[in-house]
Amino acid sequence: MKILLADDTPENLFLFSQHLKGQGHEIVTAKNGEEAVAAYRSEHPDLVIMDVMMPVMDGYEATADIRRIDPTHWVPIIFLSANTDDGERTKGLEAGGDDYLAKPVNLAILTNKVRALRRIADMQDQVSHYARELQANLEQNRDEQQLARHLLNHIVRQDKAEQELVNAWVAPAQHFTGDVAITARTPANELNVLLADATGHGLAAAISVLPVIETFYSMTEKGFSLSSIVRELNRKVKHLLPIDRFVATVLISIDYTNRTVRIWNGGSPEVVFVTDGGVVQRIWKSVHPALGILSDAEFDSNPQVYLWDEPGEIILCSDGLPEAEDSAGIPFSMTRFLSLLSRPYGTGRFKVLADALQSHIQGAQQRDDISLLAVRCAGELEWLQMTEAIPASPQHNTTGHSRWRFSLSLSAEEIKHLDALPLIMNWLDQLQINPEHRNQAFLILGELFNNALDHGLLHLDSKLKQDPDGFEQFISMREARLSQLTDATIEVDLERFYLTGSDLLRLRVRDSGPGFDRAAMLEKRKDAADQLSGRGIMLVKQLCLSLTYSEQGNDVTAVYSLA
Amino acid sequence: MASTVSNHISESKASLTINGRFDFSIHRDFRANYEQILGASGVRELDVDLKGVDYVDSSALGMLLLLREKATTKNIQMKLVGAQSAVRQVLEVANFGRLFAIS
Repeated sequence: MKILLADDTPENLFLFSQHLKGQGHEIVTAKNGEEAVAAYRSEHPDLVIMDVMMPVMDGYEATADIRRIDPTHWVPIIFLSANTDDGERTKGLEAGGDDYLAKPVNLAILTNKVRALRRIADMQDQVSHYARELQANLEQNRDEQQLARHLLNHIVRQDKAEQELVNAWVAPAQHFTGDVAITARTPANELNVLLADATGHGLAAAISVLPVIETFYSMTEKGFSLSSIVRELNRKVKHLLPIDRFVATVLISIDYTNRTVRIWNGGSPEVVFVTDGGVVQRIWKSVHPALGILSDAEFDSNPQVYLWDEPGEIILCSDGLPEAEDSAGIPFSMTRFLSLLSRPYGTGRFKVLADALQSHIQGAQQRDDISLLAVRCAGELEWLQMTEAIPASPQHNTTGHSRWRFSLSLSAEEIKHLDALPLIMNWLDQLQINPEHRNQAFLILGELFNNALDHGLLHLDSKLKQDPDGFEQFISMREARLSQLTDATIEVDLERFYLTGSDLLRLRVRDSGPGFDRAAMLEKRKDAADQLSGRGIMLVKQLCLSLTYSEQGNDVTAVYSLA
Repeated sequence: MASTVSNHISESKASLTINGRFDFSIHRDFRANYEQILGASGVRELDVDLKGVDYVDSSALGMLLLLREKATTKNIQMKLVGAQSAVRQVLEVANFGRLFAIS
């Protein structure tokens, strides 16, 4: 290595430099402190041997100057002095020196000290190098995290609209959360809620859950059923993520008009429906593996369905919540969570839960992302007056001037497996129907289509749909009959046309079933108890200019104004 | 106390034993052990012994899924044995009974 020797005695300089050169070192000399500092600056030695007593500038001053040159790069400095009392040594160390050699110098000791100090300096260099690398990495990391955060904030839609119905609390374990709690509305105005928990936490988990978010939003907007959405989510996650990564998920769809909840839980803690009075009406356990584990063929996308008669809330959480530890390491636990939420808090339930959780995790290190969601299920059923179908005015029966026409005929297999409505809606989108009209058209078409299927083809009695138990019976009967359906068709016709200055949309649905006795049906419905089952059609009538049934009853046409 | 992972191979039967917390911190040991087992020729059955496991998280479930895939390609029958109540609960919520024989 390169050694700087500073000594005002030429004989010493000669002696030391010969000795050290003999050991393979390169030597630079200086006669006094000032020269030493200048030489240090220009030669960048690896080690300095500094005589203390020198004219012009002594060893201590020179050392102090040298240390100021580059404080981050440590070069060992050994003092040489005849004076060896403690006071002197202290002065030297305080000036920034590292060791002290007594004069006359023992060359063997000099050699050893040089070697030892150089070894320490080498280690120091390595540490500095790593520290610099680490710092650079940290800064790059910080930039990447900022970008990631920007991206995530823009992908998760900040929807203020559901504040009345949805309360959410998400606490990430690190800067990024692998837990996602989002909502979106279907064209029929149902509320879809997604709680997803990707394996792990932090940035990697947050990235894992991105494809799920986009798909949820886009399929919900297009009107796909919960079943279709969850199936596609599973396909995506399985395809995109490695085998040891999956996404525990709860997907919920709430129809406030019909007071029904559809829910799919794969790998997440129990989801609970609790009334305002604190009675737990339903507990939906995870009955599927999380998303991304099963192949499409093995995957079961069927939701559980519930019709509520008393208003309440759906409470759900990610597994970070029951596992959340307090400062003593005790987990919050599912038991405590369930007992806490089954009390008559009315609408204050979410706050109670959130507060209890907050105080529990106070002061403890958070290991996993924690999410808590409460979705309100309430709303008065509107008792609508049953009336006749609105007779079509004579004009609506003429063809008018047609702009476009779209027909679709589905047989039993397609009816069973195809999510037809969103596909039809996609056509309407291409044909540029105003979004507000689009959603109403979706509602109307959905109602007519479902009636054709449920009543026309499956012969189900909507009377069952009035109470929670009957409703569940209805659902399982529907599943059973649908799976056995053969030799059946539903035809859907859409046409946009002009008639005496009006811009109209005609929606027609025909089913191959036997139809129904409309006169008898109207007689039955004068009974108030049946009002619940007819509400869908009532809604349609409110939206349309006309709604006409054929004689047989299996052919219905609605005309809707696009003005 | 630190978690441990160990394995035992005896002709066609192998066992992979985990003690303590089964989480991301042991993933290297987990891998080293299962590679030994998968590397041994003639192994037909693999029991993952969870008797001594008191805690399992989602990364542990991920490790089991990964091992399951590798075992399947080598035609090795994999079982999860000895799961205690806390661990059993986690396996239930995850519906792992759909994927593994659990005893």
